[in-house]
Amino acid sequence: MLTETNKHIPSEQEIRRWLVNTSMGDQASFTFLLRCYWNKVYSQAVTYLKSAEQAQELTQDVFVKIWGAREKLAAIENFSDYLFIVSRNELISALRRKKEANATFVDDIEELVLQPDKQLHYKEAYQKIVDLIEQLPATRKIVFKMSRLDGRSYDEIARAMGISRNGVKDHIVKALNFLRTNLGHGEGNLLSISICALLLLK
Amino acid sequence: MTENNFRQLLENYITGQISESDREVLFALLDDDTNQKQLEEILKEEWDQASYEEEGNAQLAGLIEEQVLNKIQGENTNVIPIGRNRKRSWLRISAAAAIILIVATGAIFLLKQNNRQVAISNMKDSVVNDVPPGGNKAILTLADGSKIVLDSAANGTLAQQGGIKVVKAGAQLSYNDHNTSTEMLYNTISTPRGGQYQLVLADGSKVWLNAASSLKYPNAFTGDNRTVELTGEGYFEVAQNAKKPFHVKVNDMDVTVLGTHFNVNSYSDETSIKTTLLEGKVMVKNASDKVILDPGQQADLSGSKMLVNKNVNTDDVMAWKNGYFSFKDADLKTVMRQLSRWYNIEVVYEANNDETFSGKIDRKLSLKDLLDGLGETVHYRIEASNRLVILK
Repeated sequence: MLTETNKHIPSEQEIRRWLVNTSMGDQASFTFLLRCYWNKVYSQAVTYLKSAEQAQELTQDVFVKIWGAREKLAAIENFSDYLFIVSRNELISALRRKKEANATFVDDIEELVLQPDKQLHYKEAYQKIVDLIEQLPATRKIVFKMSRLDGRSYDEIARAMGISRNGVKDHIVKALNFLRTNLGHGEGNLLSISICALLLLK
Repeated sequence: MTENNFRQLLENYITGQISESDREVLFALLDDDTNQKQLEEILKEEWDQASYEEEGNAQLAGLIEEQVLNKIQGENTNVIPIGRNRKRSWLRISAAAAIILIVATGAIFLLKQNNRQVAISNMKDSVVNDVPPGGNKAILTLADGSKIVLDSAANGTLAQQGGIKVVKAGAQLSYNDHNTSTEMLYNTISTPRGGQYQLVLADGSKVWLNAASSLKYPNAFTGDNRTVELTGEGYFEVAQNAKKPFHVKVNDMDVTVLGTHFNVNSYSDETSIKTTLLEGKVMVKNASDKVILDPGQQADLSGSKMLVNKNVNTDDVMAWKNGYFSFKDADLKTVMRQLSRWYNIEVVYEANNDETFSGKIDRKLSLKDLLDGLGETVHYRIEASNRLVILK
């Protein structure tokens, strides 16, 4: 599992310096800001857009916009708040667009069942999903399997694992985000079908 | 649709447990302003609590960084492509100014346009791992403390202080004092590393500021003199006014001017403050000493010791203002100090290099092109993302 190796947490002064330098056109400082904050934007985007590809594009668009309006940065007190607003606006626009382009996945299932070559592709994706689930951290793996394979409710899982309901929700969303981020573009869509359906097609 | 219901639908949606029909309901609800407000609140909560953030995927991080940098670099054309263009800028310099070939003990810096052999690295390298030259950038701080970034500010009137308009035109700032105002408000213009700027003061005097420099000046000269404060390097063309002497202060050094063109170099990492006169007459004084300069002379203040250098090559001193670097028997560290201000880089010396360098080179070259121009004795590595140059 790939993880970020650069775990340097910047001080407020460093961030302030990056902001001022970026406002003056310094790309290196901008790159530091990008590395520090991209994941915040991406995580929220992938949670709500349910697509790694769209989340990646959104993250890029947000930072390109930040650069485009960089002269504002010198005067910004709280970069996180400012970044949130830019990101939120992009996210809501993207959600609206998603609504328009809403292809129902029911059709996809039928298509997959009826076409043998697509079925193979489907089985490969399924295998990849199974492999990724095995990579989840212990508790999260159990919570996710209980939900998707056993069909248990969140309250049941919370009781069984001794964690809060919110904790269960947290695990589920993070597991989904992990799966989406680590699958290719095509397979990501298949996640919208619950794993129960996959089992039926074995 | 109650608040809780909307929240619940949203939760089902993000945990992948929403039914098809509920999903349509949810998206329809988003059109409503109150619901959108609620969504925004929920998003903010989750953002502040870092609700669904996990370790970032390193591969994805690299991809996003690459894409973003590509997109923003598509905007500028700072990087000069390898090949024909590079050759052309050297030809331009050789035609316009003297090419100095100086052979000193073991040191040769040649600027030959015909048989120059330059290592041409592959295209990817020169675009990704190179540093663009500086440009016209500065920050103007007004008397009330507000700041205006000058490279991105639009041309035209930037501010009005008292009866005075601050006008930006390209890379030049000017103050038009049409009214007689009584108060002197002080502004400061500062250039970052990699920046330069030009300004016209209220009396018509022109100032060129080099990189990493600043000038504090009043928006109008109402007293019996005209005084400004400089850090870094500036070139001045002072408008004639015998009744109001013009003073440039650098710490406790004072350059008094009656109407003239001169350059002051006062970078703190240089060994001395050098004031070079091109035209007119100036008096340079500090606590213990004072000298009067004639054109072509230079006052060199080191600590409290003031010396006068006669017959200084004013071309070299003025090179920066005219768009190039000029070196005469300069050691590598001296060269790199100037480059580091203009390219906004740090330099690491991994080995000693006793070479000295002489010649002129265009300031608009990218860093890689310029370092190549220094000759085969200079071995370097650029880490563009850290703004670092390592000399081996």
